[in-house]
Amino acid sequence: MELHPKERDILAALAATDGPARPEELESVDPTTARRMGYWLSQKGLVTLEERTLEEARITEEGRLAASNGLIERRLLTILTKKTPLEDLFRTEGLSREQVKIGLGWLRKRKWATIGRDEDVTVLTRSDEGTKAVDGTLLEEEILVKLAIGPIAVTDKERKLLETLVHRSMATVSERKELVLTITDEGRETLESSDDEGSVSLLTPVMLETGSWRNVSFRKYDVTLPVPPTRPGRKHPLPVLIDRVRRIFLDMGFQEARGPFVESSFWCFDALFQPQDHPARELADTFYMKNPAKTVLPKKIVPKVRSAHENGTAGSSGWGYKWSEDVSRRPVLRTHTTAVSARRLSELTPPAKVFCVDRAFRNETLDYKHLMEFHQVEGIVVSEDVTFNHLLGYLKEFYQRLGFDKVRFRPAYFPYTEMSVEPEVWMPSRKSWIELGGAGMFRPEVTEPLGIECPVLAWGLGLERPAMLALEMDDMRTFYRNDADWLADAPGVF
Amino acid sequence: MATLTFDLPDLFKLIGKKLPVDELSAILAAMGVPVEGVEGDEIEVEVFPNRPDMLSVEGVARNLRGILGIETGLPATPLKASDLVVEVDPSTKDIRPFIVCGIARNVTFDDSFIRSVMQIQEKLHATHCRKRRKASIGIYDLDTITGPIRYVALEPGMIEFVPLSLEGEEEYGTMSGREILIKHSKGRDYAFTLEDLPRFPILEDANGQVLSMPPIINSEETRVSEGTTNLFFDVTGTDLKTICQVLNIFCALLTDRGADVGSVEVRYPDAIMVTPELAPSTMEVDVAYITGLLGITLSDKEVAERLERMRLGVKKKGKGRLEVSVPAFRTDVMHPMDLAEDVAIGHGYDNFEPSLPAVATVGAPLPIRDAGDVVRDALIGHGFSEVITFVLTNPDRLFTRMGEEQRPVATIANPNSSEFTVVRDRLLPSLIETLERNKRHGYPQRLFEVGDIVVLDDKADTGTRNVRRLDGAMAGTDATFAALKAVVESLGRTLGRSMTFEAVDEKAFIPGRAARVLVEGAPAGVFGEIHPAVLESFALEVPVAALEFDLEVLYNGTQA
Repeated sequence: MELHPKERDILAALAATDGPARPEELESVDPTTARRMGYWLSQKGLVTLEERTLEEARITEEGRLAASNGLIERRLLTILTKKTPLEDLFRTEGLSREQVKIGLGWLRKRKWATIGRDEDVTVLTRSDEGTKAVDGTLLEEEILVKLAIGPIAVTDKERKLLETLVHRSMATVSERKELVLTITDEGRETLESSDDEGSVSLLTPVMLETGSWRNVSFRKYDVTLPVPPTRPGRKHPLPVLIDRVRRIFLDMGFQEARGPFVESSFWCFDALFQPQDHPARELADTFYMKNPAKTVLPKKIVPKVRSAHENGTAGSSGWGYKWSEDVSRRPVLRTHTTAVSARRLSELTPPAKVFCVDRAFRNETLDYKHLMEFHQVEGIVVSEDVTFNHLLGYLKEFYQRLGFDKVRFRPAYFPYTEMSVEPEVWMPSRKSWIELGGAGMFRPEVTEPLGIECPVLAWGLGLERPAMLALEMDDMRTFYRNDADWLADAPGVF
Repeated sequence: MATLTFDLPDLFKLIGKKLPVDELSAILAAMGVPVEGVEGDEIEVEVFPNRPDMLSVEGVARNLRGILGIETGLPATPLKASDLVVEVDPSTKDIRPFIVCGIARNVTFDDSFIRSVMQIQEKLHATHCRKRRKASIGIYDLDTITGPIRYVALEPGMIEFVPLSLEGEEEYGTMSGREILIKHSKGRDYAFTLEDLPRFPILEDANGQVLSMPPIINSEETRVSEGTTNLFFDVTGTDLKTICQVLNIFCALLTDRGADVGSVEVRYPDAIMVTPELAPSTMEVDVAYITGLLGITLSDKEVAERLERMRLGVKKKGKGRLEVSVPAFRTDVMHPMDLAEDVAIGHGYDNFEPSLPAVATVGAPLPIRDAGDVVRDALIGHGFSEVITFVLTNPDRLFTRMGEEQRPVATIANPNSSEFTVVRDRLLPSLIETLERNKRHGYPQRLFEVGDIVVLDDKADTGTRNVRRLDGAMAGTDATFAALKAVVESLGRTLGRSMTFEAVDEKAFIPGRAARVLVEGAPAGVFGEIHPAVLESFALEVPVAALEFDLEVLYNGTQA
């Protein structure tokens, strides 16, 4: 078996240690490397990995004070002579009454003093034990000194004393999981048989120049070993999907269009026969603009749109309310790319096929499944010869080209289309039908004021949602966060 | 989005047939009433805004009976004239000018019926009635009322009655009109409909007893209870067409539950109306128009059959022509096209065979998108990663942290968060912020975005113009002016454009370390080393060099 030099180092260090060792204990090996490599070595059966639970004691602030100033009972002991009045002890500098009381308890417990009365005064007298203790050191004190330097492992021998310290709030004991490595017999054999002498790892320019490469053997690599990941420059998954969508429509003979983000209410709503009191136009759904304050409307089209709303057009009864040009002038952030289609319709001559993939805006609060700006796939087909059946045909063709085999259609409602339809695609991974947007045939109240006298097929489909499903993401914001790891690792294929 | 909840057994009773839930859900979705969820006996469905007549279990059942073939064609609308009169006082003209009314006798309330009556009011008020502003319904115990009824607008202080207490509320005492807006729960909810008016509308009977103060609350005196058998109801509002629609929808519900609906004479100062007016409207349509729109082949009879399944009345008017009667509760049929949709739904969307037409057009991408593709490929070759960021931002990010004074920029009037209040007129801050978010990932980092900004423009009809930008940034110890200039010059060669450079002072860059790029002599953008003050404000601890280009000028050397 071929060993990486680092693997060999680890095995050698383990072989030199008696029994299991923590990565930190291995000589001349970096612990992080030891941990990572240890895993691979254990996969190969060369080492065993084990998790050990360690008890570890750490000093507290209280303990640190005792370590530097001494235990309270020791401080009291040093001022004790014969018949020291209790009140004197309470006046010890730097000790509270409460602390002195604790200290008195320990003096008694350690039998360092006896309590008596002298006339009317309570007095303490140092005992023989006490006198002996003056120059001695308690085991607790030794441990405290060690703890003050750093955490120590709890051994059975010290457990009892540590418990005392814990009880006196001078130390804490906690458990820690720790990895230990042990070399296996196979590991020892592999280490012994891997004779690396005479092989080189690097092919150098000098070797090539001098031809010395002919005389060396190259160390063989373990080709299965992992390497650090690389971060390429690459396209963001969402624009990649946009590229795909654009390609599909260009292939089908569509012209690409764009339009302004800041749009008049006229193009966003009125030209699409959305009545001025329609809930979608409310502040809670639409971003209105403070600057610019208003927009300029197309003079020739305005009267036609007005009469479509007020009295209807071409056999329609209209909404029957008083339409306001001022309301129509209010600028908004376009709530759908259908505004682009409305503008294009006012300019084009049939037959025409137009598409647009771009941003739209809604007054939403940003969360994992709502964005206040998102992309829409917009399209129109304008021709004397198109029918509702063809609309379904385009939608089916589009989704199938995008990779969704099963497409179905459900009735829907939009103020500007009649037959309105919501396409749904089957997601095998979720075992469910997913609704992806809206489509329909523009109402004559939309098309006629814009000068179009033939049927118009139209759709406005979501982009983030299918992208999210395809990439199995659960948070839409991820697209716009651009986390470097995500950008490097997200699949770029739809 | 309006949703509706009702009991399945109640629906089955109304359609006269029981169906497995899965089958029912599929039929409802195909009918345009998608099922949101089923829990035990309760089903929740979505009703589209064009079909307020289906905002009740009765309405759904009515349509379902047609789809299932249990009862097709126009639903019956029996109507008996009554001698009840409602007089409209001229004082309501500038306040809430329109009222229509009706009565119902022999009402047998049960839990489902009561729930449905409450629900349809709530749902209609929220949607079609535009939060009661445009229209609102009042329902009363007819037997507590003495005709004629008067609809009048009074000063709020002159109005005095005990308003209805709602479920779970304690009974109210006598209140003035103004007090109701302040103290009553519904008064507070709907105060916005009246509070700015000098007079409030009320209905009162011949004894001077107040029935209600529309659109807020009824009086306790006329409360409808389980034992009520005769109803008086009104719809008041600001739009006559809407209130008639609402009245008709409500009458259809009462008829479906077996009540006898009666009409009322409403006397306006200048006209007399007898309401409700439940006769269907008619519309003539060519079968060829419908099949031509839909792109399917159906005979006259087949089209008529599908319309009848959608509860429309159909009479043949010679070959290929139909006279269609539209029930008074349908609010959405404005044009023969709307009948085509009913045929499509009656036919079933699943029964279409989608095909593509032969419409010969030539595909063409936007040149600016092509330009984007070229520069994206080029920068990726230089190890830059593409990002996409929000167009919406705030002045702190756009100006302050970039070390710039505020400048006029497209601004939202009703932002919902201080994070997103303006539309960016510069792309670079979004990129630097992306670097800030990616700090923990180590360096070097290189990223770019091709995206739109919005600039104010008096000459544009919207007062703004979208401009396509290419911005990029490199961060790390290698992020120097020279390193970035190498990228920029390479970009120039890729695009086949000659570039010249001149020193430029820009606040975001270190003085003396930024250049303006002229492409074929036209200023296309700037690049340089970002000022440490800017880095500090974005909490970045490595040098950053950045480029900012107008994509169109970069690509063409001029602006089209």
